[in-house]
Amino acid sequence: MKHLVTSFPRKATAQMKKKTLVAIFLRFFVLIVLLLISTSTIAVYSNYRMIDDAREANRNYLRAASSSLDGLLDKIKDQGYSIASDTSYLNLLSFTDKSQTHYASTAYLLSSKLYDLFVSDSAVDDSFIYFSKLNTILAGSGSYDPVFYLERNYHFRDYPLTFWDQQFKSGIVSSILPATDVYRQSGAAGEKKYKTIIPLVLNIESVIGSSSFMVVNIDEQKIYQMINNMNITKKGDIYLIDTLHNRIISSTDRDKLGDTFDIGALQINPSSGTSESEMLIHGDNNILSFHPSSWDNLGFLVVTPEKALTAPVYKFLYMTIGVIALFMLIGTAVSVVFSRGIYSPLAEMVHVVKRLAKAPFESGKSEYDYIKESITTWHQYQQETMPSLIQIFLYRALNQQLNKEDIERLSEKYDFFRGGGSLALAVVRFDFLRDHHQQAAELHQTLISLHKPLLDINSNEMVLFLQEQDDVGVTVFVTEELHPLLSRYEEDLVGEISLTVGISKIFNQLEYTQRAYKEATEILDLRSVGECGMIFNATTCAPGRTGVFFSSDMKETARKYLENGHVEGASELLDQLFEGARIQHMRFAVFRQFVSDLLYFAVETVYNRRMDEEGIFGMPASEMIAYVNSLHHPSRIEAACRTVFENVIAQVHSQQQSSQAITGMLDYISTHLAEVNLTSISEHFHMNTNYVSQYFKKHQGVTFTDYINRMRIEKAKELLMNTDHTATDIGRLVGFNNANAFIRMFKKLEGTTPNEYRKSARTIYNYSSMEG
Amino acid sequence: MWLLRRKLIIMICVGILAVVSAVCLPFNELVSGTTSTPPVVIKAAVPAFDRDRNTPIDKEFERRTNLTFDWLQFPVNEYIKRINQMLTSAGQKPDIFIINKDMVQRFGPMGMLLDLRPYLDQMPNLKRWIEGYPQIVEDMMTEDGKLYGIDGLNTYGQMPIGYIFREDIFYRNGMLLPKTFDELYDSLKILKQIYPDSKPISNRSGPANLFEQFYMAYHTQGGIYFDSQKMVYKFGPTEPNFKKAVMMARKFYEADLIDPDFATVSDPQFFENVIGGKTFALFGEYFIEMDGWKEQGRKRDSFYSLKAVLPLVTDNGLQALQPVQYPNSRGTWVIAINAKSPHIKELIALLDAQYSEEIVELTNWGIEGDTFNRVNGEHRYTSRLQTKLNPYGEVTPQEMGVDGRSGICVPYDQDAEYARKWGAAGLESQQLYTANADKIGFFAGPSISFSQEELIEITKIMSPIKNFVTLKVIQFVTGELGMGKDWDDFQDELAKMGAGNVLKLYQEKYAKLPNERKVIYKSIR
Repeated sequence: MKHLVTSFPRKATAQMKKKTLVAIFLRFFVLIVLLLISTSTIAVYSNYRMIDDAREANRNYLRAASSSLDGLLDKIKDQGYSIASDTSYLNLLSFTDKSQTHYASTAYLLSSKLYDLFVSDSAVDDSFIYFSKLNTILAGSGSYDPVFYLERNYHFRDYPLTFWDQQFKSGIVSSILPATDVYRQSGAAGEKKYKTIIPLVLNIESVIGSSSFMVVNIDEQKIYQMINNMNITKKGDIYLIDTLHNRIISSTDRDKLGDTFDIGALQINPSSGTSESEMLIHGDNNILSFHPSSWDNLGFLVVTPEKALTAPVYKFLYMTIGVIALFMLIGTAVSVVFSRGIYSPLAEMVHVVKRLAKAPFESGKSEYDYIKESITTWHQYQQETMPSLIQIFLYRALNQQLNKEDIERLSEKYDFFRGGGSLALAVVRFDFLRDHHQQAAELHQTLISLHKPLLDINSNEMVLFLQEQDDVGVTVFVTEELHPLLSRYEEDLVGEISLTVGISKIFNQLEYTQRAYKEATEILDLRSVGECGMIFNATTCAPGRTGVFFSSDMKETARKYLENGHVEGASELLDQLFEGARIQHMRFAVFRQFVSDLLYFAVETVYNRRMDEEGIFGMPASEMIAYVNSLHHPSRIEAACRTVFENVIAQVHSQQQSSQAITGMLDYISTHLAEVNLTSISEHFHMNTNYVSQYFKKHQGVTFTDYINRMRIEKAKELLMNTDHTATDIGRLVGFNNANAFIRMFKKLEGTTPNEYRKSARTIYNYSSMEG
Repeated sequence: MWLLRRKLIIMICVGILAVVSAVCLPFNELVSGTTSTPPVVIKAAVPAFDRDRNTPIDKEFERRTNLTFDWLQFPVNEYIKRINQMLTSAGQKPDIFIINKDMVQRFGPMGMLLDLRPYLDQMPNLKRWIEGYPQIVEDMMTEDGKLYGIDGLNTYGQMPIGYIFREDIFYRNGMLLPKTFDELYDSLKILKQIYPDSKPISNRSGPANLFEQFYMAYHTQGGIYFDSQKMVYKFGPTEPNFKKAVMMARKFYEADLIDPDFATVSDPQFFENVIGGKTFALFGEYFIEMDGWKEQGRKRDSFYSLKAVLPLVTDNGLQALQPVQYPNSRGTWVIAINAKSPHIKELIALLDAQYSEEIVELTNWGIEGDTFNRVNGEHRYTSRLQTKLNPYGEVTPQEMGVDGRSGICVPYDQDAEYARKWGAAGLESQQLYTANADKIGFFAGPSISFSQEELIEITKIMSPIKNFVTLKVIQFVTGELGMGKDWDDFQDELAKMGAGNVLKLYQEKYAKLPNERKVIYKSIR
């Protein structure tokens, strides 16, 4: 993996990386937008289908719920009415007093029937009949005093005693009342919620007149369970509503119990069959499906929040988006790794160009522009700085014999090689005191202005190719153009530059170029150091004399002066030598060799004396010699040589003086060994004590104290051997204030006590003398 | 290089797949695979005692039995009806449940109930109880030797019901508490005049319950019963004493001393009558309720006071009897196990554990140091627990679960109940009756078992007779029917209904019993 990653070119610029990432992101983005559009389309369509299906499911559910619940309610109602036709009921209606003999048995029979009819049905909690004439309530669970029953035993929260009185007076209408909580007296704890009950009120007064009514208490929980168990949609809430009074009777949404409902606002038609509408409840859109019951005042309503239907689809959608986003992230991460390779040719190109053109890549710039501009700039630079092809050929011409074929081929392309007229080479040698490279470039520019082919041979030499119609043209060019130009140049930089130019003989054949180059350099090397001037050529300048040498004595003398720091002597001798060289017309090459020898003496001295070469030459010794060798003007070489000698001799001289001082000190110490100390030394030699201490350490390599101790112990040894003084006396004699200090120091330095030393030394001495 | 790149692409694909599948799988599906096997869940049907089933004691019970319970609870007053519905209808049935003895007789032979007899050896704790009360098994055993349930047990028997008077009303009006029915009649007549809207004698649980008190006053009963003096089975309604009992009730009714709604009155209305001061004499009412009634009655009448008296004496000198509750007859409740339950092993272990001292102590007394302490070897509730005698305790027995109701009808410690629920009046009354049990106790005879067919036959005959007798007695008592010709017709009708055959069956069965079982256990402690 690592290998794989590193194998990709990794040189893309930050700009390019950014651009690549943006490109990748954009591509992913477009892809995601496409995916989202398609997913959303599917989701929207699914939602549409789901809502449609939900409607259908609601319709079916409502039909089922309606029929089964209607069935249950109708059954209960029928059972209630069957009581109305029961003889014991009819008999009881006729009773006005409980003391009538048949009352107990009749009530017993009816109560049993009520119990059997309703208590056996799990949907019915209890049922009761109110007998107004008897002022009693007969229920499945037994008989009650109406006030006790309705206020304490079976207390409807929403239907108190007064409600029933009112109902009774205004005439009982068979109906189903909305669900309400029923409370029951529970011992000392008072009232306690018992159940939620839907009272089904039946007008069973029959023929006798309004003296009784019946209430069947339907367990709301059972109704709820029933509709909930049937709930095939499971998404919405089912309401059993009283359309006559706009009330909710029962509901799967338990919190809604007891609410009233604006049926009108639901845009449903209670009388006709199933109807559907939509409605905003608490800001959410809800689908309403309504189905009327077979009871006049009842209807079933399914309220399905669209959210509940569409939530799964949206969940799917969000999940899809999540997965897509995840893929995008992973994809981008992988792409970031691979993106290093995507633009690599261009990136590589930028980096190559950057290396060549040495121009920084600015962010915000196009890579293509950068490459184009950089290459253009670089090309111009190359045009100016690098040897052109012709220069390469010229270089070849200088260094090797060109044959005719080469020349013919070259002459097709280059004017210079077409030859013709007279040719000559000017070898320009130069050196600068400062900024050699820059100055050399300036010189190059200056010479370029002559419009002649120019070749840089090395940092100190250039060759100018002269080509004129005839020999005279060459001479004229040299005298009228080259010489004045260089003279002006040298004057401008007087003292900073030294220039020497060797002009070859004029030749006509290109094949002789190499030879001409050798001639020109030889002219420079063989010229006499006595000649001064700048331009040398074979005709005007006589070579220096051969066989001119200084006697080795003179060299040896120079060396002695140098080593012994004889300043005046060395200076005089150098004057004689340089003067002699000029007078004898010494050849430049020999002169340079001779100066080199002198410099080697200086370097040798520096090394021998362990002097700081950097301090003396300003550079390492070898560089110094190379530097002097690179100089081309005899006077500059001479000056450099003198400087070197002066510096070295001065250094040698100062060393000699130092050594005299230390010798004085050592002499003083040996003669005053017993009383000498740092203070007495510094007073005697007029030096600071610190300085004496450092000076001592520097020149003797040991501290002053150590030196003194060592000297004293040595003196003591001598006295121990040769005298009969006691050790204590000897200690005092050599300068120790007490015997203990002497013995301790002696033991430290010699590893033995003074007495033992004397004993053993004398034994050896005696033994050796006996032998002797 | 290409190979490497291909590997990389495959790796990336696999990584993406893994990530996507992790995103798509709901988290809980990923972790659900590691759940351990759940503890056995026992579905148990029990009467709801107006308390939660998650009290500390219930939790401790689950912990000690190492089971988890799914409780199915119905209110006490409709429990038998509901469990009957549940067992007869289709659908999943509980593993263990409380039923009554009739249901045991009915469902046992149908194969619905587990025969416990083969398992008795695996139940050392239960065996210990059986050694003390052989009736536990004898009463429940069917003719062919099957044991389909275990009675709910009490630590000892008692006489829970008796005659209770509003003593303050009597004393207030210058009367002593009556000792005979005649005295009672005279006193109540006077009181009725003083309190015209009163219902001097009121009752609950139907007219038959009231009549039974009159029958027992004359030492008879409304159906087939065992005469413990003559050691013989008899059919009450045909006896001369039965007519006397009806005539006495009729006398009281005619004088308006019995609630005109006696045939239908509901329990809540009855309580209202009692605590509202409408009723002065209670026949066969539960002593345990006396203190509660007193407390509530005093809210309305500060003189309100109830007192139990020994059973009254009839005109022919008989002292009325009251039923005796044996240790093995906690009402009529029986613990039975569903024969088709998949957890028989656990249920047997549970059943046995319920008879261990540890569990009996847990459900009745709770946890030592927390809800009870031992003083001289006897249990005492700590002051933390609210009892009748320590009304300011911080927690009620119901809240804590130390009401003997945890588990499935764990033996009920009478001492715990006395300490917990009983007030001074109730306890005193109960002790009065229990002390005189051998004189006033109506002892049930040795139980005899019938075959399934015989039971059906008995029910077929006796059920209509019971309803018929009740309705007819109402009519005789209210004066709707005369005590002359009408009574003879009633007797004729009754004879036709075939009660005699059933009585014969009882007598034959009894005759077949081994002699050692032809005994009456009069000791209830």
